[in-house]
Amino acid sequence: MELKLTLQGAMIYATMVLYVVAGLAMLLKFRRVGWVVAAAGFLCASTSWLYRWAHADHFPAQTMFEVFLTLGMVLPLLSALGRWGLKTPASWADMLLGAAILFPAGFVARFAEAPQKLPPALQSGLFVPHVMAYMAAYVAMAKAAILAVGEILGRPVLPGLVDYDRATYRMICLGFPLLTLGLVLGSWWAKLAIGDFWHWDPKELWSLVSWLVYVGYFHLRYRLGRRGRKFQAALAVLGLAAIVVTLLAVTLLPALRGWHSYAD
Amino acid sequence: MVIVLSAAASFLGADRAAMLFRSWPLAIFWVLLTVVGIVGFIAFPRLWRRPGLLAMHAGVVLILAGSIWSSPTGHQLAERLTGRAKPRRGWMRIYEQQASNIMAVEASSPDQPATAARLDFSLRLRSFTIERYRDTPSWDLVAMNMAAAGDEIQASMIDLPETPSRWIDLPGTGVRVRVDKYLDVHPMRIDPRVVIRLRNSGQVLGKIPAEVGAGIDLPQLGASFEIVKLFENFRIENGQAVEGPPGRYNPAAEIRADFGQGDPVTFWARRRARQDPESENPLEVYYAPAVPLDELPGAIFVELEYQGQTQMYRIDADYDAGFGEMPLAAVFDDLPAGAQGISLVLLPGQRMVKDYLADVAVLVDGEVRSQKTIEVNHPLGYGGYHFYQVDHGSDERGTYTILSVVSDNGWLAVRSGFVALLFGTFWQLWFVPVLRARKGKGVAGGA
Repeated sequence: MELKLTLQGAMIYATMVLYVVAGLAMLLKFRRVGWVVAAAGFLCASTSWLYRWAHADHFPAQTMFEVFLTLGMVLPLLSALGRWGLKTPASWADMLLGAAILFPAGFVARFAEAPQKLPPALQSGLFVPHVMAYMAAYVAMAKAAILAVGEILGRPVLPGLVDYDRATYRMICLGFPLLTLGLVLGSWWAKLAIGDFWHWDPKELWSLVSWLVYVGYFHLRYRLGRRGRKFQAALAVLGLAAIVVTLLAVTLLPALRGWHSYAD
Repeated sequence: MVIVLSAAASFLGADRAAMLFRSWPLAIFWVLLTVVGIVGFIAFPRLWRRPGLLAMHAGVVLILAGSIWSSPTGHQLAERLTGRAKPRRGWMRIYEQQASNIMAVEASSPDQPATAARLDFSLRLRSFTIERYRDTPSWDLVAMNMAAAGDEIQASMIDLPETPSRWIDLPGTGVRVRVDKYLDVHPMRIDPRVVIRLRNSGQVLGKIPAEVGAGIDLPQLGASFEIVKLFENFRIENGQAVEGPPGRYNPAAEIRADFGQGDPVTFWARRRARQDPESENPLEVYYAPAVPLDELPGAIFVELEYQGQTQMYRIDADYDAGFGEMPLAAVFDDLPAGAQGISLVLLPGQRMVKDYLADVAVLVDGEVRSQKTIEVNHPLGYGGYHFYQVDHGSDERGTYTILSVVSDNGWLAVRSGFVALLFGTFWQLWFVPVLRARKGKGVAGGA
């Protein structure tokens, strides 16, 4: 753990504070104040992200530090889409999730702020769409898992939302094509970079596990409809757990290191 | 099953996981899975009424079929069906300005020897270049155990990052190091020269500009040195120094040394090796090439932490000595015994690679049929294979590149599967719900 006493660090902390304040304001029914503060948080996150882009001299999605920074910037966009496009509110939880996502970038010493040059393999036109598809998918699936917890608990933990099952389904419908896009683009890129589209690398295997969990979710959904909702919700949570392993454990656990360890 | 196997196999490492998933029981499983996927089109006629679902399933079946066809077993099957052997994977070594059609074929298992195959066409390497980032340091920082001797020095070397970095533990020392920044400290271009120094102390006794006829008298040695010949590409053939073919830079100077006793001695000063072998000669004489202005970051700031103390230090590179050194024992008094001999050493290195470029031409009966600059992420596709730049080097025959050669069997099916899967997923989960919502049916909550 460390404090990052730089301009970049200051912007991360400011974003975290704004997200927490926005989340609490929304939770306490000060919705207008909450949205204004959330917008300020997004502005701060975007500025921080663009500053990083200029500082690193490449699209900021190479290191884990940059990945968390990008996730924190993408989240309010997905939250707004969820609220106004998919009728899945609970924006206060999104804001708190945003602060939690930025925590590793702001405080974990291992995710160092020092920018790195892109090695030859990462200089590909597929780098940005591959990573951004995954970032957006991860945020959507994280939100889906939060909603699924509401379904599993069977009581209204999130104010303003009644049908957790349907909201979970909508968020997974949003995230799954992006998850598929990230997987396919990564595979295509591997073919162009090193010859095989699949290497059985730990990160690849866990990304396949994540994808298959959601495939299982959809098969249950299409077979059973809204029957067995709790089991489907459990799969949504399991899917997020697999995503967390894909994103973090593969980088942090020496037993799972492989082709993708350059992201550390 | 695939979920459980994938999760478990992730702990095996990529190579062993690949062996597991390509083993015979799982090969049968993949074939059965593909067959079940195909049967699904008949068993579930609903699929045909939903283009999105149909495309998703067709995509998965195509990816599975393509993967099987591209696997080692798939290649064996293709060979039996067509009677034509097509190696799945291998390598080619091609020298600059030369052509080759010989491919070293990857053995199907580690206990089998690699074999060679001839392609129906040749690849000619017209040029090979490495692009480097201009704004990365051209020096390497390593932690080295200077108390060890000979090969042991290599064994205890730790590469430290090129760019400002996180804290890194130096094993066995309790010391952590972090690169803070590299500095430009040499404002002048340094011309090529021959350096004479004492091997043990590192003291530089003299420098001679790298010009024929230039020389130096060293009264403390009672000796004089004169450059009698210069080489751009130094080679020794039959015990004689000769100028090699142009294109490769391996400079050296022929030196005549007169020690005032007996006849003058002639020897060759070559570039200084990083690790000098043990030598009885107290003098070290080497050729130091020119250092252009933009190759001159020559100092580094590092932060060191030991038992809660953190200190910033600067290590300067001495161009004539060839490196900069800072013993840890000079910084911290109470280091453990095993750490006393460890130094941080700044060594001449090379800037970080940005890209490798191999400009190749495809020749059929001596005629150029295709040409391409192979870069990372931009392979050459020709004659049923993809060619990837993977390594390079140089030896007495010149500069060469090593290309990885991969059969393209199954890739068309896999690529089509990717497109179908993406189309189906987005169609079913994004466009259909949006269309339904626009027609006033609301966003679907299920099938």
